[in-house]
Amino acid sequence: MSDLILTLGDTSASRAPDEAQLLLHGHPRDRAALSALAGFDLSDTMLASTAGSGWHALHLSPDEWLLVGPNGGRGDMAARFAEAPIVLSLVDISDRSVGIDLTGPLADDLLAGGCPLDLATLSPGGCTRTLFGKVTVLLWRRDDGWRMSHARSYDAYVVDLLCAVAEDLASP
Amino acid sequence: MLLIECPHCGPRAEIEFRYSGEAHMVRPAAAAACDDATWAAYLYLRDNVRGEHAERWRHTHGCGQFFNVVRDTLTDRVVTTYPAGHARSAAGGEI
Ligand SMILES: [Zn+2]
Repeated sequence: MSDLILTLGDTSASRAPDEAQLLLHGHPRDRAALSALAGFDLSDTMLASTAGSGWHALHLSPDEWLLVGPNGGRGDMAARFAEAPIVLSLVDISDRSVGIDLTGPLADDLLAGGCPLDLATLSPGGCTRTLFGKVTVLLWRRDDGWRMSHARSYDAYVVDLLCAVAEDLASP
Repeated sequence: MLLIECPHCGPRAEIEFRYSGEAHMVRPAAAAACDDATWAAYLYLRDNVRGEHAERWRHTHGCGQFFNVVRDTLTDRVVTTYPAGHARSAAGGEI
């Protein structure tokens, strides 16, 4: 689905597709073992993402990776970690958060309207949690634009703020 | 607004963080056995320095990690930051 939230010239914000999100915590020294379980290499560079077999892993904290992948694969991915011989935690947060995809020349300006972060510090594939207005959001710079995801219960606030920023940018 | 260097995420705006009190407070080893004065000191007594102060911060709206900041309480200048569990760094003097 791609429900349009707003357009601003060639820039648009739309509802991100429903995807599986599994939050993995493990010790940084176990990164190789965690990568083997995931089936692809998990980044050891903070705020960077890696990809493999349809999944992405976002390195959000020294001991934390967010696995994002196809909804249908979430059971299989979770099962790989179930009998792991190392200490880890894997939490399915797919239904907790919702995402918004921002594409176009003014996507950075839309985000900057609510976000204190220097967006230029994130190169493609880069990811981080930060604030958008008063809400913790996850920003992920993808090849075709930004993915912003946040707690479902804050979605109305986030959308309202995004629309307010767009209104400001549109006014002469 | 302060710009604080998270040891894991780099420089970020102050509003992404929460202050968490003086750093390097050591819990008495035999907590159940220690006397009231020792326990009270651990709970309540803080240096309240005028100048460089080592304190704990948490990158709440970021990586979520606790870490340490040496901040000058007079000028509000952040002198240095370093990961939790590390000794107070050279810029700030002894532990
Ligand atoms: Zn951080």
